[in-house]
Amino acid sequence: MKEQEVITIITKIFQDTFPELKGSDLDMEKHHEDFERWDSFTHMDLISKVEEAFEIVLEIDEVIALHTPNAFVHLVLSKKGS
Amino acid sequence: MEIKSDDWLSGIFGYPVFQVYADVHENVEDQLHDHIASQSKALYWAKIPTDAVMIGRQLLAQGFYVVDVNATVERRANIEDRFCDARGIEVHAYAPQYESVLDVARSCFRRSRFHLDPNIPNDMADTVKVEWVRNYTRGLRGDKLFVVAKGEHVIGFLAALVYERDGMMVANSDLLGVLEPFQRLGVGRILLEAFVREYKKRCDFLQGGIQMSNISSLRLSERMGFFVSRAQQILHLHV
Repeated sequence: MKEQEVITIITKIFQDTFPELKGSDLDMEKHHEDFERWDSFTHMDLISKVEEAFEIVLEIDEVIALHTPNAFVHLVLSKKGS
Repeated sequence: MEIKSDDWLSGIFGYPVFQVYADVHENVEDQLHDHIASQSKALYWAKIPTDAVMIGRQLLAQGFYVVDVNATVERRANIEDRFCDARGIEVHAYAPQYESVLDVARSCFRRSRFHLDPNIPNDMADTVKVEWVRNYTRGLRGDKLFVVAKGEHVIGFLAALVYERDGMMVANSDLLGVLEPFQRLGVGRILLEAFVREYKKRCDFLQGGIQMSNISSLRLSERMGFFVSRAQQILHLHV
């Protein structure tokens, strides 16, 4: 899977989860603490959507290391062997 | 009014701790004053409804101060749930290899009523939380202690107890703690979902207590179907 494809899908997942991001570029380095609505509940929504979209399973060590959109991209790329 | 010795807290503090129970419209000032005057060193605490203005005024007049406003959140157990279904994350029942749960309890609470009380040292407040959880690890309190761990290192826990109320079974999320670096990263939701899954078939109601100032926990519980059913002030007095 190409990096750009992963970025596109991750961006869509973030925009679906945080509707206020629609229509603007996603800051891939924005930290989870800087998202007003990124809480425990939302985090697991992101995890579920990413697992489903890329057909992967994330372990707890991976889940708690995901602090930015970019971290999701890198994790997906590593899991998909790209 | 009734003033009952809180033996468990007294054991931790090393001096008498009393809980004050009072009816909303009761005149408690004289009785309370006499009791307080008979103590050389003691902690008194009371939990009263937020609208119990008269009793609150009397407690304040005796030197009590508010340390916490606590919300009870509740829901029917069997409502439809939308679980996050993360397949790679396991919630474990407490076992001896997860004794680091006590370290989590020692470090993750900074806004409990004991931590917020300026007259209680932080290490004492930490000890209260550790001993509370130790009651679960020793099987002295509660029904289950759920943990999320990285290997054998616990990063979050939920202590649950079950009790009967008017012929209905109620599961209470007694204490939920997540290590600070892992907060807002799903561990709280994972634990709360494990609690809901465990008790939604066995109990009639699910319940928890949250500080009103803890907006993120209130929001999480709301999204899990809970609503605020009661609000209470907690007051302390040190002699």
